[in-house]
Amino acid sequence: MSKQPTASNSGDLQYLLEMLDALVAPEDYLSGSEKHSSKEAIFAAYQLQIRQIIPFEKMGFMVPDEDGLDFELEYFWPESQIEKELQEQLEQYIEDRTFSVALQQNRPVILQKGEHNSELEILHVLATRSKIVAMFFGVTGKIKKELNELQLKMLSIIMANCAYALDSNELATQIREYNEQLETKIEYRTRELLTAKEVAESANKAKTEFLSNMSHELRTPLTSIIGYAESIHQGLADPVAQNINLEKTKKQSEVIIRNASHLSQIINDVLDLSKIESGNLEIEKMVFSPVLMIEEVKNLVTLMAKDKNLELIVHYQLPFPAEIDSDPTRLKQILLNLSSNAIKFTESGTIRIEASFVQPEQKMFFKVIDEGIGVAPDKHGQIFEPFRQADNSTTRCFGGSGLGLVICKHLSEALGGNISLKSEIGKGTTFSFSIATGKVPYENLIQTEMELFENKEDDDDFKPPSLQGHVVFSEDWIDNQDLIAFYLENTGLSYTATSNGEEAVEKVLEESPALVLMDIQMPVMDGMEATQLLRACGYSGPIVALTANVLKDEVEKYMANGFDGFLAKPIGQKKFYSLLEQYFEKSSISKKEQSQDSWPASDKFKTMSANFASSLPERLKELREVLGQGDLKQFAALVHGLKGAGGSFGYPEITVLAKEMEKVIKERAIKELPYQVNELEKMINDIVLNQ
Amino acid sequence: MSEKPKKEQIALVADDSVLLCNLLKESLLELGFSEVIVANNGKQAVQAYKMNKIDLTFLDLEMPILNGIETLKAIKTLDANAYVVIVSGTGTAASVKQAIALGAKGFVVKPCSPAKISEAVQKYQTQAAEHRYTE
Repeated sequence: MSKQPTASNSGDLQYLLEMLDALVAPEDYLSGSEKHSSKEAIFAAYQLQIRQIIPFEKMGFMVPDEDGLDFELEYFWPESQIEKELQEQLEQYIEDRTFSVALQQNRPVILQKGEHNSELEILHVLATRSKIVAMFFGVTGKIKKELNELQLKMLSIIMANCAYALDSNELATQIREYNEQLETKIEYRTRELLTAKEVAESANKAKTEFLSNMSHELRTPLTSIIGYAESIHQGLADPVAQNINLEKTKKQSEVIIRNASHLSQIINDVLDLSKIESGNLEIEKMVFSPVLMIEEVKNLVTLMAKDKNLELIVHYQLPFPAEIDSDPTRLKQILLNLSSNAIKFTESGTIRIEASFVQPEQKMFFKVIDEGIGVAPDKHGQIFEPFRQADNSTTRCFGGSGLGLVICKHLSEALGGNISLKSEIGKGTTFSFSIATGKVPYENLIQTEMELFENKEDDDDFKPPSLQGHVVFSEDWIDNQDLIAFYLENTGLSYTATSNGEEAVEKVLEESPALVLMDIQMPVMDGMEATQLLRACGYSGPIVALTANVLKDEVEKYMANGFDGFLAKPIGQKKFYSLLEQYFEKSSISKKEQSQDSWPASDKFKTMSANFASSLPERLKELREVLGQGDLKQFAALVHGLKGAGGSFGYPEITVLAKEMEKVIKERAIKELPYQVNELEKMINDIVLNQ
Repeated sequence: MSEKPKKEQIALVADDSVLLCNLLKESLLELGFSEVIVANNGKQAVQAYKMNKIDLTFLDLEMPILNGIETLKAIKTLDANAYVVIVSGTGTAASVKQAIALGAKGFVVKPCSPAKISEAVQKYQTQAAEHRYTE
C-alpha cells in the first residue's frame, strides 16, 4: 500500500493534479444554487468526489443519533439493495470493536476481505475538531489493487471536508430554525400586543363613554332638583307670597323627591359595582321568607307598572319554600332591578315574574318576562358587561346607569346561581336567574296557594306613633338634623339636637334622655368615642348608632363599644318610627323611673326643699351686693351655686335662668346682668309666695 | 332604692354647697348606705378618705381649697381602686374626658335628679358585686 509501481515524475505530477482537481471540483455544490443544502445533497456530492479518488463499489455514511450512542446508516451508494448488506457488515464491525477503533482515529481503517484478501473495506470517521459527525464505510471491488498513500490521504481530506460541510449545514439549519421560531414568536407577540392594545383602548373608550354618560346621568336629576328647589324657595321668599300655589309646590317637591331617589339609585349602583370590582361585595346570609320578599318587590313594582298601564303578574310554582337561606337584600336587589328594567323597556302588555324551587338542586329559579323592545342577539353577551347597555343610544333614551345588569350578574353568582336572557327583537325579553337556597326540609315546603299568603304581613300605610319621652341625638349634617328633628316632633317626643360627640356627651349627662341617637362620623369627637365616654360616666340608657356603614364587622364594633343598636342611613320614616317604638316600648319601665324624676314627697325632702326656698331671698341679696361691688368672680360663683341647686331641689326654672346668666358672664355682656337679676327676683318671689 | 346592700357601706360626699351635700346624703342613706360622711372642700374630702373605709365617693368638681380634679388625683393616689363619681355643674366634654382619664367611675351633671343619683349608685353596686369593691 505504499507506492504506485509505474510512477514516473511527469506521470506522478499528472496523477497528482488529477487527484487535486477531483478534490476541488465538487465543492461547487456548496456554492451552487441550492442554498439550503440537505445532508443527502452533501453526502451525494462527496460520494462523487470519493469515487474519483478511490473507485469504491459500495459505500455508505452512518450518522450518530441524538444522544450519540448509536449509529444509523443514512446514505448509501449505489442505491440498489445494498442497504441490508452494508448494515450487516457494519454491525459486525461494531461488535468486534473495529468500529470503535475507527471512531478514535482520524484516518482510514483498512480491512482486507474476500479470497486472497483481494477486497478492501475501509472505515473512516468524519469528525470536526469538536465532534464526530459521521462514519464512512466503503467496499472496493475485487479487481482493485492496493490503494496508495496519496489516495488514502486524499480520502482523509475529503472526510474532513465532508465533516465540516455537514457540521456547518447542521448549524445553518439550526440558525434557520431559530430564525423561523423567532419570527413566529415575534409575529405572535405582535399580534398579542395588538389585541391587548385593542382591548385596552376599547375598555378605555367604554370607561370614557361611561363617565360622560354618568356625568350626564348625574346632572340630569340634579338639574331638576336644584331648579325646582330654587323655584320653591323663591316662591316662599317672595314678600307677596300670600298666594303660594300649594298644588304646584307639592308637584315640584314630588319631582325633587323622584329625582333625588333616582340619583341615589345611580350612586348606589356605582358603589356596588366598585365593591364588586374590588372584590368587597358583602353577602350576608340569613333565613327568610322568599314569599314576603317577592310580595314586597311586587308592591314596589306594581306602582311603577301602573304608571305605564302595564299589568304585573307574579306566579309561584308550588311547592314553594316557606324559608330559604340566602341574602334577602341582594335577592331583592336583583328582582327589583330586572323588574324595573322590564317596565322601563315595555310600552304595553304584561310583566310576569315567575318563581320556582327545585328541591334536588336546592335552588330557586326566577324569570322576569316582559313584552318590550327586546335585545338583539349579538348584544346578549355584551349586556352583562360593565359600562354597557345594549346600545349607547339606549342610555340616552331610557336612562339608568347601565350597571344594573352587571350587578345582577355578579349578585346572582355570589348567591350561588347564574343569570341568562332570551330575547327577540320587538317581542320581549326573558331574564332567568337562579340562587342557592340551602337545605329546605320537606315540611318547610308550601303546598297550597292559600298557605302561601298566610303569613303575609299587612303592609298598610303607617302613621307616626304617639310617644312620650326625651331624646338626645347628634348629627353633624344640618339637613339630616332637621329631618330627624321633624320625625321626632311627629311622634311627640321632646329632643335636643347636637352636632358633635362632645356636645352629645354634655347634653346626655345633663338631660339623662330615654334614648340617644348617635351619628358615628362627626367632627371634634366621633360617635364611638362619645359613646365610650358616656358609658364610662355611667349613662346606662340606650344609645343607637346612626350610620351608613352597617357591614357586619362595623356593627359588631359598635356593639362592643357600648351601642345598643344601629339605624342604617339613609333614614326612612318607617324604619325610624319602628326603632323609636321599640325603645319607647322597651323603656316603659324606665318611663316609670322617669316619673319618679321629681323627688319623693318624703318629709325630709320637703324640709330640704323648703330650706332652700327660704334661703333664696338671702342669696338674691348677696348677688345684688356682689354685682354692685363689681366682683364678677364672686357673682359667677354664686350663680353657679344656684344653677346646681335649683333643679336639685325641685326648682328647675332657677337652673335654667342661672345657666343663661353664666352664658352672659362668659360673653362679658355685663349690662344684661341687672335685668337677669330682676328676672330672678320675680322668680324667687313667686317661689316664696307659693310655699 | 329598694334593695339594701348586704354589707354596711360608707359613702363620702364632697360639695361646697351644704344644701347639696345634705340632699346627696339623704338620698344615699335612702339608697341603703349605712353612713354618709360630708366634706365641704377637697382637703376635707381627702382627709375623710384617709380616716374612713369609704366605698363610694361623690365629688363636686368646683370646690374651694382643693378642686375636684386635684381631690380625685389625691384619692386615687391613696387608693387606686377608689370608686369616685364626679358631680359637676358644668359637664364640659373636656372636664368629663379629664375626670374619666383620671379614673372617675361616673360623671353626674347637676341638677342631680334622683334618677341620676340612683343610676350612679346602681352602677356602683353592680360593679361592687362583680369586682368585690366591698371588703
